[in-house]
Amino acid sequence: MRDYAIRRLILIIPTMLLASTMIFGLMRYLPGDVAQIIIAQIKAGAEYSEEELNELRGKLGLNKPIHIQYGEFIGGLFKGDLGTSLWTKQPVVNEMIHRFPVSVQLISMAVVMGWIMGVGVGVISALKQDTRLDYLGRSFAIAGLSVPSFWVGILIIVLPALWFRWTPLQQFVYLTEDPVRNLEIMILPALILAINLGAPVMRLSRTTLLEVLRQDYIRTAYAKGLVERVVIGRHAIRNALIPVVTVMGLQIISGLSGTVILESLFGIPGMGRLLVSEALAKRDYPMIQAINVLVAFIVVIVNLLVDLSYGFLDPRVRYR
Amino acid sequence: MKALNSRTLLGMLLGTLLVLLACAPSAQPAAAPAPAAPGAPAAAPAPAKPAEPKVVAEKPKRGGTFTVTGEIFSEPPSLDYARRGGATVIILHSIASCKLVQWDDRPDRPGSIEQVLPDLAERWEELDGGLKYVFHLRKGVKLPNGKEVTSADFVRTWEREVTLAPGGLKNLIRNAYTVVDAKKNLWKPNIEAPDNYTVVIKLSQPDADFLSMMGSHWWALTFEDFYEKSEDGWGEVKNVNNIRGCGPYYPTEYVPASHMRFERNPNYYNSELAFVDKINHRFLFEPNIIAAAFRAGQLDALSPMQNIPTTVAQELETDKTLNVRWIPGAWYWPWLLNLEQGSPWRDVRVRRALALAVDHDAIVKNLFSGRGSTTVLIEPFLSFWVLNPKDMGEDGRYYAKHNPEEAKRLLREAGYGNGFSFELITSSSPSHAVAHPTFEVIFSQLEALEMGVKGKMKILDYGAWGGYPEPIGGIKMSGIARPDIESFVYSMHHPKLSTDRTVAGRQIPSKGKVLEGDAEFARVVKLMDEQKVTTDVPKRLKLIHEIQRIWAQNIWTYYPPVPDSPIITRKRVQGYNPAAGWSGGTWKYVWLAE
Repeated sequence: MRDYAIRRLILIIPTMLLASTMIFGLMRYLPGDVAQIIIAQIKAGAEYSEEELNELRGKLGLNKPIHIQYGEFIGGLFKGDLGTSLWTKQPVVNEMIHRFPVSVQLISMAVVMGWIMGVGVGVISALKQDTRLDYLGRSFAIAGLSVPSFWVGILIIVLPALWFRWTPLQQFVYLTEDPVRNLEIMILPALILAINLGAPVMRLSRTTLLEVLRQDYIRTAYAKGLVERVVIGRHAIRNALIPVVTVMGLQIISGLSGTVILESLFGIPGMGRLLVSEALAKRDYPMIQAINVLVAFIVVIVNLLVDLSYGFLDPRVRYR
Repeated sequence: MKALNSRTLLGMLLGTLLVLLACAPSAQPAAAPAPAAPGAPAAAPAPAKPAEPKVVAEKPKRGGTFTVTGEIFSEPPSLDYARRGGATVIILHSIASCKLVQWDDRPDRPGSIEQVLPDLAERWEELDGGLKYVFHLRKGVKLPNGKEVTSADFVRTWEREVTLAPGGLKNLIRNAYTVVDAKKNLWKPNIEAPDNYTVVIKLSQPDADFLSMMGSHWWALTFEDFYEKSEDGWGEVKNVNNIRGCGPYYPTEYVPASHMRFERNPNYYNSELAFVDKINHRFLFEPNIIAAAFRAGQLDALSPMQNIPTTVAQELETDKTLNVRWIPGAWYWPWLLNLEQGSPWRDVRVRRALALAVDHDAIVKNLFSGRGSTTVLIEPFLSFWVLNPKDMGEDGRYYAKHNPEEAKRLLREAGYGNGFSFELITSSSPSHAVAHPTFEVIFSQLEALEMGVKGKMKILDYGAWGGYPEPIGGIKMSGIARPDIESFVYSMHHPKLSTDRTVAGRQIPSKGKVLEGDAEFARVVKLMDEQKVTTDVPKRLKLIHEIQRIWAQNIWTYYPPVPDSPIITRKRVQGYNPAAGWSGGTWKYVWLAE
């Protein structure tokens, strides 16, 4: 197991190198010229000459040969320098440092709530198979899978305002400034995301638990006289959760993309919004690259942790 | 529990449907009627006139927090105005800054008519036939650190800006700058400070917009005392606490995606402004979210710059706690036609056919519920300068009348009897997306000619649209730039200022030279030059009306109808100027009745 873990850690380097190269390349293929967008803003809509545009490109480092730009980007990554924003001229990490924890908080809350809901409802559904509770649980899962989170978000903001002249929308407050208000603000978007994330977990939990409950060793456990609570809790659920762990790990990755629209709707200054509404729209290449590299790194680490967790959960699994 | 049978399942399904139906909101927004069939005679009523601003009879009350959205209509891309510019960051600095003069945005004024009032300059003189301006500053205007504002601060601001980002101010008043080295793009501002309270600015030629630019929110007096240190020695703005000046408010907090807070400058010298203690600006962009915030009492006002759909604003009109006032469109979406050789739009008959094929009145009546207008060249909200197409008489017939038969005749005459296809490049940004239904209606009206003229939109994200190169065979929808009359009739259209680039806000399509040899365009260029140096307002107005008439006949850019812009306020909000719109002065005199 240890050797396996070390090998996987070493493999992170070429994986990240490949991911960074792809990210860098894709950015350069995006249509739109950031220098033109910037100069249009500076000039307040008036004209500019080709010389001014080229001068700006020079200042931004965009007229360097592409392989030089790439080298600087990769070299910076190895040194921990994620680049400088083309717009603010500040290190991109300065902005990400404020945004990343907000997204982490939102995703963490959503994932934890999603897991609890998903596993909880899935277990109840399996234990009460083909009853009203089961149908309710499955309906909940179908709804969670089919209903887009942005639509639910808009309804949750708009409908209470129409009916009760109240809306959950609030001005954002950071966790460190006012934890209680921050949690009040974050709970609803986290819950909306949790429903999306919990739905597949519920379905998988139900299916795998039903399979496990049909196994001989479960019948043996009952035959030994163990109460249902012990059979389910100690034997069935633990084995049923092994495949669910894979999905749960991947939920973190889904959560990253799910935050984008919710952050925009609820006015949350997270990284999803920074990437899509700000960096992409402004073609701030260093910012886009940095965020994507960070996300790629998180995906790689999460996958590694998920794989390693098998060894703990299932003693039959051994890594060479 | 027993397994469920099919009857029980059906019962549950029906029950769920009933619950969903019961949960449907009772207040349904009025659906916008479908546009009139193209070609049908349109007996449209005259567009609703905007309500005149009321003169505030009550004495303004001081105090309170004013919560608004849409005034800073997008998040600032950076906070450093001189280094990165941008409309939103300039507005932000402008709120914290005083100017030599200020636009007359008093509540009872029609707004944006180029009249200026004293601000930091108590008085000024125009000398040498408009080539020299001498401004006399107030004494004793203090900054937060106790330092007095002097004329040296103006010189430093202008030098800082032209050094860091030779754009911005230099583009607004290029006559006030001298070229030092054209190749290196080095400019020198012609500004002097003979003493602490006198600013002298020299122009290379008289400029009708000079005073207006001195009072505009498109530049700001900046003070490096509050900036972070920078390598180049000019200081840098890294957070809102660096933005301090002599203006009415300072930003005190900025949470991206959420809000920006301002507090009144305790040292502010003008007792006629800044009645509220705090301004809370929220970044809300989605119209339904804005409506929800209003209903929940979280907003006091929506700026007309936010550009929400007519239907959402009409829905809020039914809310008795709100006032909704309509002003002529604060935005518009001109089509930059490709006038290169080989393009169908090169032929004036094709351009006229476009305008005649579109039923402007029907669009206003059916798509905008009667609240909208068509103008040529100038945004509708600049109501003082705008010449209504109906007032152009027969000369303006291409915009004032819907005549599909004449449109067909012109197309055949121009050799496009079999039609052609074109692509309209637009963006998905909210301020552009709101225009897309109008464009779709225009496309369908063109198709109704049954001559094979087919248009379609190519929707790019904002970044791709902004940097889109010259479209060959296509047309690009433009944005807008500055709110002053100068930009609309001069700097955005004059071929002398055009280069090979088409950018957002540019209105002369494809290379300034493409209209060389066009006698009508030469005539309009001459008029542009003349109005630029005409400081007498009535004379200038006549010239600008004439420019619009010629443009309406030749349609070098096409102007779809635009809806009126709503200003939505809570009833306690008083003292604002609905006509100030783009000038950033809507809320300058605002106060709260309770």
